[in-house]
Amino acid sequence: MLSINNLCKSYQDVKETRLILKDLSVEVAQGSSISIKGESGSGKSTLLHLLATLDKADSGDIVLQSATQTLDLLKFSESEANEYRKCQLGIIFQKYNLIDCITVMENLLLPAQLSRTLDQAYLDKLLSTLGMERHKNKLPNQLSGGEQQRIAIARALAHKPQLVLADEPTGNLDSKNSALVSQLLVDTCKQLNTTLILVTHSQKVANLTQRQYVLQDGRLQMTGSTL
Amino acid sequence: MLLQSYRHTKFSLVMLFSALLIATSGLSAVLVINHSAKQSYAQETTYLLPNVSHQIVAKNQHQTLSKDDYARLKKLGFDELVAYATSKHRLYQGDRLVNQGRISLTGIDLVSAIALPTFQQQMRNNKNAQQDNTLLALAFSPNVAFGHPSLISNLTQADSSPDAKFSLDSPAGKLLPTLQDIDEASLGNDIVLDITSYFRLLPNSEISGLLWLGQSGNNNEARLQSLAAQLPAHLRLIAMASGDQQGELTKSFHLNLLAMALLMFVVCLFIVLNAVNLLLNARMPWLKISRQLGISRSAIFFIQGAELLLFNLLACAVGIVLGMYLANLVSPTVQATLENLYNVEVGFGQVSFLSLFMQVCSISLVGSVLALMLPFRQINLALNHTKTLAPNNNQHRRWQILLLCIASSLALFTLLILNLATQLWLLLMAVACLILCGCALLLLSYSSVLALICRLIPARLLLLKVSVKQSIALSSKSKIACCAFFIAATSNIGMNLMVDSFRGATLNWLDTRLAADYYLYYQGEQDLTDIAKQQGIVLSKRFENYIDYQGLTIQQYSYPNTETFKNAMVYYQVQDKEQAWQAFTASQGIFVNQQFAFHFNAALGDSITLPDPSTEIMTAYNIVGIVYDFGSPSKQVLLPIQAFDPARSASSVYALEGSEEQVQAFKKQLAILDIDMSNSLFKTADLLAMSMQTFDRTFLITDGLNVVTLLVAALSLACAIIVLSKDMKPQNMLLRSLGVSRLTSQLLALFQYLLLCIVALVFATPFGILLSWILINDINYHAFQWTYPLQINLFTLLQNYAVSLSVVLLIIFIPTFRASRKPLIEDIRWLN
Repeated sequence: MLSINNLCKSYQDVKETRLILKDLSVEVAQGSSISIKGESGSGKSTLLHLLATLDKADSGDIVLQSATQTLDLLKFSESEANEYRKCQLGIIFQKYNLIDCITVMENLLLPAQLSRTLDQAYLDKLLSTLGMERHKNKLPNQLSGGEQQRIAIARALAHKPQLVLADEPTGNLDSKNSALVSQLLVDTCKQLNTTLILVTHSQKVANLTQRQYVLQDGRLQMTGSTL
Repeated sequence: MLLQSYRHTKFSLVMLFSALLIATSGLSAVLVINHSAKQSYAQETTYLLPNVSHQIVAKNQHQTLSKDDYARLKKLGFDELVAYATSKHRLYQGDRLVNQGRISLTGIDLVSAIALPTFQQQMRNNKNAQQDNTLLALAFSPNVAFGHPSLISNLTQADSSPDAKFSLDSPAGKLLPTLQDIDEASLGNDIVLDITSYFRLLPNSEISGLLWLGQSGNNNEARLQSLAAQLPAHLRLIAMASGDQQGELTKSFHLNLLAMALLMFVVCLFIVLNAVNLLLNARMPWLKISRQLGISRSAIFFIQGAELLLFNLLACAVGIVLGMYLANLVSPTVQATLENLYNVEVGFGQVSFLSLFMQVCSISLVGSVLALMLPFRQINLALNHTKTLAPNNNQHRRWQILLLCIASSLALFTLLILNLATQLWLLLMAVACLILCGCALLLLSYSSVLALICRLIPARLLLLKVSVKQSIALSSKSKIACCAFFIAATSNIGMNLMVDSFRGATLNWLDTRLAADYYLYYQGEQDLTDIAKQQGIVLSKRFENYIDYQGLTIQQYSYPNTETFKNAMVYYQVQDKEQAWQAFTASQGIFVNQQFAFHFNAALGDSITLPDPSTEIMTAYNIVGIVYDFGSPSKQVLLPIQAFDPARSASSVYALEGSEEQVQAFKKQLAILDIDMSNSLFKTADLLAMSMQTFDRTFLITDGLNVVTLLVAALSLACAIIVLSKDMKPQNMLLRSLGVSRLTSQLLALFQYLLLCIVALVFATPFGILLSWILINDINYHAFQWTYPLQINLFTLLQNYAVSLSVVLLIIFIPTFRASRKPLIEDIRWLN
């Protein structure tokens, strides 16, 4: 379970302080998926960065609970944050997703090795689920954009994380590939019981998740649910 | 817009300007040193007098050249002779010693000189009015002495009043006439005055020599022959060691200095290239906007070019001032080096700022234009296309073939020059070709070597593998910086191995040759042999004569016959040591040093005809051995001690074999005779230590230039890293988002750059060894006429690796550390 309580984040501009997130609170059950929509500059990416411990909040709590441990993300030291990103988190960016000098399989092996959870059979299965097993020895630049993003999904799930954050993962893809990749992401997370938080501009993509939110005036408002 | 952009490109501007400044100041310093020294050689020992072709000196120190000899020769009608007397002194201003080294005080018989037609003709065709006026003033001003402005300014640091008085050799010594400055290149640590004033100051002195101011033509030759025929038996006529002979000896020193400065200059241009790249990269968005606003590419290039031209001019002006200051700063070391190595005294010299500016500026401009070609090509491409196309396989293959062709051609060219050329500048060209060949091979093999290293890394160390693979990508993007580092590393290894081999050879040689327990330097009249014998000390004299041989002055030197000295002989070439020694001691054979053998193309078994040191009768000698004689500029012939007549030959060095007690007793005995040995009797170990200190001082400048070159190469690499770190940012950001810590990512980045350097160092090693081999066996052979065995010391190589990598690590740590200090979120935002 991921609980966000009264989260506040502001940025210092030249003249004024801009409050991006105002007492934002939400709870996401383990294995479920949510999407967040919002206008540019509304704070979607900021929220993801706070969840990824890449940035610090002004106040509030982010707690990630599992059967074995409870993690208070905003109280992490730098080494704890690194350990959290290594073991509990998978991130998918809009672009620059893969390390281009190593093969597809090595891209998957890397997070698995870093988190010391290497399971070759699982990685093969993951590639097969995403329909990419025949590309495993290729270099990323030998793949199309859609294929690269599928590998990015696999890479984000390679170390069996508790939480996956996807920041507009289909922003660079055409509509056909966008639908395919989004569906694969949501389905795979569901199969693996991984919580998914997906930031998108596309309503179609948002509809694939179990709950849909809009980030407005620094707060999340639920706009739909299939639960 | 340019001025606006400076606010965001401070670092690249500093790099660019410092690179230009280092390059121009280094180059100007070397040009000033070389120029001053060359001016000095051209005029040295002629003491401001024109057309001095010969001089008369005493054959040995037992019978000196007297004032009577001078008067007798003048009476015989040889009016072209001008006497001079010279001696070295310490100067005091009040109680303060004002000069650390000794200063030459020289008196010239100017009244005779001025009356000569040669001098008057010189005044009519006056080219140097100041010189002639000075001589005239000197001749008729008993209370004036002249010195170079720099010397006078050094001497009068405490009291710069025009009436500052200096006393000779002690605070209570005789006072020197008032010093006036004359900006004459040949003057170094010299004070020149009229000979009458000189003898008034030093009444017990003798004439040092008689200069021959002849007029050109056959009559001069006939008069010289007549003079030689009428010379008293204790005098001899010798040709002046003109600038040519000394120039030959010191040419290699200056050439080496110039080569090092040019090397530093070239490496600096690599920084210019990288710094310009950095600058243009930072400006690229603005340049693109300018293009969108309709400003033409040629206008953009023109502005960038004009900006760099301005930088060049500014850097040249500041660099020359710095260079002149630097040359002044190192001139005591250079002067000491030249005096120790070649017995050449160097003046202060005159350098025109304008001509130096023109020289340095033109070299710098040509270099900068070459260095700008690549960044301008890149900017041209960037402004032309919206997307840079990655080179395809065919392009890559063509590039590899081109590199292979360049490397083979350069190797072939180097081989040809080394086998056929004898001129120094051509040999230095061969060195340049060799290094460039290494660069081409390095670029050709970088990716393959790194791929091989990558293959050797086990799969479980995937992060390390990623890092090595990233360095493959880096190697293709930082070719120029890697080449700069390779050049610096090669020259560093080459020079250090050469100096190390030279040091080792000299140490071995000195260790073996300095076989006696003590060495004594004594030029007095007293015969010390009997005093030494009384104390149980074996004393061996070293006689030396200077003779003319095939138009050159060579040295005849005695070598003791004892068993100790037999074992102390170090041969370069000998057929049978035992037989050679027997022939030598029985006066049936002689030894020559390498300098003699190489210069006169003499080999073992050759017969040479020389005057016998005792009888001066021309005698044929058989060469039975060629010996090492490191550091000596003289061509030398070694003869057994019995070949010399103590009454005719000078002896100033004595080898002493005895215990410390015996030597102390010997010193006491000498003190009773009022002979002070405190500064002239040396223990062999002390002498060895002193020699090695002199040796190390000699190579101080080379070492300094080496480190600067390395530093400059590392700076070039740092510039490249800053440009590349932008390209590497997304990949590093990705690794950090996977949980790789800041420290690990910093270490990985350093590892990548160090890996490139290590590969370059490994490639530089064989090329460095080859370079030192060429320096020893070709350049040293042709320049100094001696060689020594190349010693490849693993410790020296490891030391070189450590120094090179430390310098690089130190420099590249700064940009790497700066890049990793930024919070990850900033990079991610930047990417978004």
